[in-house]
Amino acid sequence: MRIVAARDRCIGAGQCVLAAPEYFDQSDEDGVVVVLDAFPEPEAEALVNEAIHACPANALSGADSDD
Amino acid sequence: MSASTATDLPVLRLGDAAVWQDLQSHLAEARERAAFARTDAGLVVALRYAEVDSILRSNKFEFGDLIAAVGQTSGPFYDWWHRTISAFNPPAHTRLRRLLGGAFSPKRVNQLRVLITALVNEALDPCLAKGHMDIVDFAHVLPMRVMGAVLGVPREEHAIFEELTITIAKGFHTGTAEDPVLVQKVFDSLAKLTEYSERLVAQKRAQPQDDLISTLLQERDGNDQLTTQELVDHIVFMLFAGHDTTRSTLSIATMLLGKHQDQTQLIREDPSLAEPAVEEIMRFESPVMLTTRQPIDDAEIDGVQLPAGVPVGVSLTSAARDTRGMPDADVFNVRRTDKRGIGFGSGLHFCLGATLARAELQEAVRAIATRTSEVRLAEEPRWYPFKAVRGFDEVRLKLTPR
Repeated sequence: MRIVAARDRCIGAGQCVLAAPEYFDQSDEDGVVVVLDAFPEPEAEALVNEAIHACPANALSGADSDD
Repeated sequence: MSASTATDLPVLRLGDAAVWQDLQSHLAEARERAAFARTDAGLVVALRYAEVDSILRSNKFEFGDLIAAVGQTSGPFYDWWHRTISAFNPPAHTRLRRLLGGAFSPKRVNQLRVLITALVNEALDPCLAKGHMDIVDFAHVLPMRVMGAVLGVPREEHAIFEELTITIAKGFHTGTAEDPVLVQKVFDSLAKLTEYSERLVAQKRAQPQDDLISTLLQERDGNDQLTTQELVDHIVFMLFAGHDTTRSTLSIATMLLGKHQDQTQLIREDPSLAEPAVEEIMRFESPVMLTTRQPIDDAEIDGVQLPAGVPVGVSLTSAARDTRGMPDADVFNVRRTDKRGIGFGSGLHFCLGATLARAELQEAVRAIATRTSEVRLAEEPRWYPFKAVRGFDEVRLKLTPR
């Protein structure tokens, strides 16, 4: 999978960082999401999906790696 | 399923003070029967996690008028609340969130952590010396000191701020609208706090310092920045929100540490558990009993009709304990891995100050656990009734210093 972050929708809540800190961070300046690794290994997909669902602003989604 | 009317729903008697002492079992009972309940005041309230989360995230629902819901539909308090970020939808909301959000960025909050820890320890020292903590000496002083330090308000003026924010908070309580003397006090307190905030802004504009107001004065999104009126309104908003809710949450946190000694011991043995412990505290006894949204167009969820423009309550307290999707939701477990946090809300209005609140709660929990060898409740505390944000006016803990 590939992680897609809509930075314009991000409200800087930090829920993704809490759920999957290996894959998400927040910018120091405005708290907007920074994807650290957009291509999680298959075994990490469940964790990443949890982080995607935890986003209160629906700013995260998962796409096929080839898209 | 045929559409039901609000009259078929289980009733939550929130007007009965006794219900608040045992609120979780009343909520659980109603939640098992239906996804929504109706309060004795006629407000339809979502109780289950899925419904609460979807209403809060939905763009078909907007800000529900919390103040109108308690009977105030005009006046300076109403006007101020409607100028704050809570009342806006995108794109105005998005603009304010960007301009205000930088003040609570992880970087800024982490810079503040040393200061927060020092304030926590300072408040805790006399409690440890006495072997006793009354939350009046801890949960009631800490949020003001933290907000004061963050905003750059001198310590000798905290007492004034505290009194004003406590009075302003009463504007949101059920029953206030029927008390003209109290309504006037709310207006007066708001006017005073606004005037004080204007003075602070003028001071920081002339002499910028390393504090939140100075940061907000410099905050830009492209060419856009907050107007002075917006800045003043939101300083009042942050003083109020950062004080009242944090104080309630800290009172709940201290109660849980005293009540669940086995869990406190786990934090004592591994202080890094303070972070998940705060998430668990926010989940297990979520302070926000009620917030409101309203459907933009007529809506129907689970067969319940929700008319356009009529406020719907959402209960975070109830949603967080829903056993659907979390079978052991009624267990307090600081090592919980299946997090499903909704304590800070969901959707666009997710708590603006969550990063700061988390840091403050984490350092308080960590210090209470690690600086003691035992913490226990001196007596069972009593929840205060009728407020949208729950908590205790009094929690008494016996502390054994380490």
